[in-house]
Amino acid sequence: MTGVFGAVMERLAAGESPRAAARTLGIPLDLAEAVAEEGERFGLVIRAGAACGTCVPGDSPACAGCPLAR
Amino acid sequence: MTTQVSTASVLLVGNPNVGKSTLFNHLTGARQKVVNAPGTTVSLAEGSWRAGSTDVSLVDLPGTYSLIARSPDEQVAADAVDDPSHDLAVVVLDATALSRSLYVLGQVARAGRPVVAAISMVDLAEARGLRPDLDALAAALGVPVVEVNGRTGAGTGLLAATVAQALRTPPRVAGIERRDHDHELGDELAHAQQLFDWIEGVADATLTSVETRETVSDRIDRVLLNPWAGVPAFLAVIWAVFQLTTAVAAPLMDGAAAVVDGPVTSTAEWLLGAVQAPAWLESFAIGGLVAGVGAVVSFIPLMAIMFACVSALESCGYLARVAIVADRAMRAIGLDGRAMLPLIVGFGCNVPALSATAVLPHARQRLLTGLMVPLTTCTARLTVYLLLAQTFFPDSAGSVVFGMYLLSIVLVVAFGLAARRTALRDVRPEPLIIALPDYQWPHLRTLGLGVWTRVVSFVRKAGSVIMVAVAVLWVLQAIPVRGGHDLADVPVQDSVYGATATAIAPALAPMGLDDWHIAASLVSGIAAKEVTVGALAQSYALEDPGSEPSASLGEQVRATVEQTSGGAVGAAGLAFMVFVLGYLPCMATLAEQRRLYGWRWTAGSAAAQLAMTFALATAVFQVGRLL
Repeated sequence: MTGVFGAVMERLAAGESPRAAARTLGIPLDLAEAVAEEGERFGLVIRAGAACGTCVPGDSPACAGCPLAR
Repeated sequence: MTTQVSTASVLLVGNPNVGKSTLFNHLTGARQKVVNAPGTTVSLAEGSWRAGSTDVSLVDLPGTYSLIARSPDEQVAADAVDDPSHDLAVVVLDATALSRSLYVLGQVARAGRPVVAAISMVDLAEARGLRPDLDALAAALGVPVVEVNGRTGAGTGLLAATVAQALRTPPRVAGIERRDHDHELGDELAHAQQLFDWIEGVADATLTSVETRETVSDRIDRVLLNPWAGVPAFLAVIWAVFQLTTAVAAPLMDGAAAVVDGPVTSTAEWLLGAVQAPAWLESFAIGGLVAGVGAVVSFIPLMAIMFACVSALESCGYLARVAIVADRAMRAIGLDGRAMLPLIVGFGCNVPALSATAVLPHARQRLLTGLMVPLTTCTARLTVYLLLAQTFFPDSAGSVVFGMYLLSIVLVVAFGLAARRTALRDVRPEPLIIALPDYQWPHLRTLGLGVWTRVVSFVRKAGSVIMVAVAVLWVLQAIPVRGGHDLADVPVQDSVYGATATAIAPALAPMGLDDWHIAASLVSGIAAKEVTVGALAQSYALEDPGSEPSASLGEQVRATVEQTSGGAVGAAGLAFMVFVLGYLPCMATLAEQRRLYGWRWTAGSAAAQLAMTFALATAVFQVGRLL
């Protein structure tokens, strides 16, 4: 991955939030958020809370104890 | 090139909540209608608008952050932009989030549509000190930029004149190459990277300042995501959760158990006596349903507190940080960091955790993670830990339960490493990339609602599974196999249930647990872990159905283990908990594993897990009894 896209992905992989990545790289926050959002569309980024897209808490008993379910 | 158009087709494109529909309503007034996008059920607003001397058919597309669609609405927007029959796209930009808006503008330009930019929310951006230089923006984009306010109508006259001119001389965005119709994902990714570089250049030329202040989230993350402090901080948080849970829940659980053993049991007995119910029905209702279901009901306070703690950690943004911390630890030992999310889900319930392995891109990674999932200790096992910890280690129950979670993590890692070095050598670790949210205070109403939903769901599942299990167990306990007893009038030791459990029990002797009650509860727990405690309670209740319970379930279990362990109660109790942690997955987990990976992998991993846990529990007892 190259350019600003690759740089933001590298910061996210290092455990920074999009806000911290924007500050580290000196770019607008919404640019870092746009990279994270597009990275998610390409399957490169996972959004917190979206790990288990197959379940709907409350509808599925299996989700009763799921700590990431919303 | 100059084009004459009489009725032009113009698209209104932009991010969600950018004021696009407000602008559309202002431009078209009452001259609009709602139609379905071709071949879909997605609604679109179409209206007529007079732009200068040109009649325009204006289409308000669904808001989207990208034309790489992931919903039907977004697909409609992407298809419309791709359709060459539209003459022009008016892209509405958000001045408070210009870079994000420019991404869609760049995609529209790449699709070959001529573009006019309408920029909204300039007043808001100005108030935040982020007002973009509109002349510089127009120069960088190479297309007209018009400041508009959909609410007041400011700028719409200029927009109409600009659109009329653009329809005669279609403006093209500078620095963006038109896309040939490749849709390979690799190409799209490369183009996305080029677009973001282009946006960075435009933003540099247009924006006067970027946010550089360090936030509270940044400062907290400096500690919690520090490679050295992150893991101890995580362990401290989880330890505190268990301490809080056990300390607060213990008296509540005792109260709930007293209600079940006292008024509930007495009322049930009175009702059964009043209708002169037969002995077998009384045995089923009191010894089966009330004892089994009641044992689980007494855990409701514990589950509620646990869910509240976990929900609070999740909603404040900490659990996502845990994934990052754990990811680093996993990669340090050569395991895939992205496996962390399904494994974290596994600490809630193993079944959705297996589904959550779908986040992993490669089949072998999904297989490895799916085989590790059953060793994550689900909340159903927590009920067993709590009972045993309070029975055998009443002064340090919270710390012992915390220790079981640590052991679970150790077993997951050990199992994963063993699999990577043997059957799954070809799996290569890759990092987890997660978009961390900022920390925020949990919203109390949402938190309460979430806890209520999860408790109800837990009770519903536990209730339904346990009702069925109790009924099945009671039938097995009612069928005599020795001693010449009648059906439904048999000491449980002489029933199919008791005889089977008695036959299995000697296999538990190396762990100091050679007892049929314990064997029966472990076998029942394979149906669902929630059943384990209920089955244990049911076995003791039916053993001597005529007598009043003189001791609590914990006291009865302790008395049993004192006999089976030769006095090494603590060592046997700990071995019992270790064995419960990993001996076999529940039926639902096994079924899901079989569906995903087939019988061979499922049976093989279950056998390996059973052997590993048996060896570990045996070692715990044998070493522990010597200490």
